[in-house]
Amino acid sequence: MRDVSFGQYYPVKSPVHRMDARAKLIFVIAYIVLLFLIPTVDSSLKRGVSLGDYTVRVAAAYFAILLFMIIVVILSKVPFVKVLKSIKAVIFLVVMTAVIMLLFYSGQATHVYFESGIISISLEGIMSAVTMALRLFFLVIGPSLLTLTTTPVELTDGIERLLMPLSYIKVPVHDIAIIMSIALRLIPTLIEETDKITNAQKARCADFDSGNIFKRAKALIPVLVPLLISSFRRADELAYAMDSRCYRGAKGRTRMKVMKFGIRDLIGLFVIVAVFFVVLMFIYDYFGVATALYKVALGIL
Amino acid sequence: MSIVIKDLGYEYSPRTPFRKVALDGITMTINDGDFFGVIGHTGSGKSTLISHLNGLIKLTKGSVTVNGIDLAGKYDHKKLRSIVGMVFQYPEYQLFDETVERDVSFGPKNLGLGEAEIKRRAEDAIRLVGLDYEKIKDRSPFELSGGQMRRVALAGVLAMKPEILVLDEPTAGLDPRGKREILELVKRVKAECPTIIMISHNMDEIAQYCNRIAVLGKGKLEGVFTPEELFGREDIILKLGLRLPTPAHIAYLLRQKGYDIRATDEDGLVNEILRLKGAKNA
Repeated sequence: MRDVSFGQYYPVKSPVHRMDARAKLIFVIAYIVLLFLIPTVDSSLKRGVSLGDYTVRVAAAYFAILLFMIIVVILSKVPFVKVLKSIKAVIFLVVMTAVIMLLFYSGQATHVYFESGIISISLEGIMSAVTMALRLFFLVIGPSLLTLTTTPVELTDGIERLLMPLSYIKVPVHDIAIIMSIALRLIPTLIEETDKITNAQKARCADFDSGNIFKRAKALIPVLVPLLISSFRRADELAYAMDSRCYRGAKGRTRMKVMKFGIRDLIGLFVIVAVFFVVLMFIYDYFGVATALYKVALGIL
Repeated sequence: MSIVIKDLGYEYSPRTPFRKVALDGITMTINDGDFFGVIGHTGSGKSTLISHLNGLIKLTKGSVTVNGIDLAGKYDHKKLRSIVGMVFQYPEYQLFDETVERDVSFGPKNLGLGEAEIKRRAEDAIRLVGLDYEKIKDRSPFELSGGQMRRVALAGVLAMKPEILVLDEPTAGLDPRGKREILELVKRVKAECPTIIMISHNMDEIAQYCNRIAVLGKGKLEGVFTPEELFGREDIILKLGLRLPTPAHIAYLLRQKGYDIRATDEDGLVNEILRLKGAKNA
């Protein structure tokens, strides 16, 4: 249970860690938007871009993103292994999507290798499978880098601040944020509690690892019942503690740590805009860069 | 038969920034019939140490033998856990079943015993912890008082008829009377389960009940002492940043006033004071 490493905060000091949580959130959103701006095979073919040209453009775009991510990871001082581990959680999804894309590609296809019923394998299908896998890969890496370098508290604070405008239309932003931070805060506690109760029941020879799925599910009852009861107890105690410290919600509440958008965040903004521009330059052939690259590629081949 | 621990080491989250050495080079023997105390500050590795004894933590470094079972090799987990009964801190939080009797039967049931034997053991255990079997067996464990819940949880472990009972702070969170009741109960249990290992922060309890005491500090074993050795020498206690039991502390203060008094428990202190008084009158 303890080894859930998907995006668990990695405590080191780095420029990325010190960035404003709000800035990081915006950058990650921009990054995700950017990933979705990279067109699919089919849409490019429909726009009249040849398959070879498309390959060069997309390769260049992903290469730029990869380079950017490598630099960010190095700056963040989080080991690459840790970052890559977050892929482990979604590897099944990535592979499944790629395989489905490969087998059921239904767009324009000129180089068909195999066709039978609804299944068809084509060069275009392979290309779209590869680009989809790449997109998912980068899609997971970005946000997990965010959670690796930002504490849950900073994150919820950042989200609260970004959502603040919504409070003018009576959305209880502060309450949502406090619920989120309590939930996040309690995850490790609950994991610890689960460990403890599991151990206590194991000491009474409870068997969690054998039998069919129903038997295993039933074996969890001695853990889940005490866990549920202690969660309610904890919630009660927390409520009393907050009450006795006069917590009354958002009204008139000031913050201990005021977020500041600093020079670091400004640099980040410039970088993300630059990456945006470079990627779009490759994809949409600004200044004929992509065409030039394509010619170079053709020359090499 | 006994517990032999050699060069035991353990590390949490190895190879990560969260890495923490919990135990380092622990070597000691716990004999049959010992009332063995384990003391040390929070985070000194006490709980990690005892979790090794019934295989809840997999042995990674060193060796542990419990009644001839080598924990480094392949062994029968069920058998080990039926030999070593483990009562964790706040054991009442592990209660889950609808009735007290069913909850206490959980352990024996997992051991694969027959229906009649399970019932007999549950009844024996509930009586052993000083509860009225007929009155309490069909009640929900969640409607009992805190002290009763703890007894029921203890009965749940005792129903497995362990040969070694491990208690992690059995008196935590109880009032003075509840504390004493639980400890007297443990003393009674000792007739059936001869070897008892107890973690405690309360030096008075340790001094009063244990015959041998292991002192842990930051994952290392500072030594195994008898109560007289440990609490007769305030230099060790002070060096380890621990507290003397109240009687020993009183004796220590009196000694500084020039009285020749050595005591580790209440009876000893009373006897010493009476002796001095007698000598003065004579």
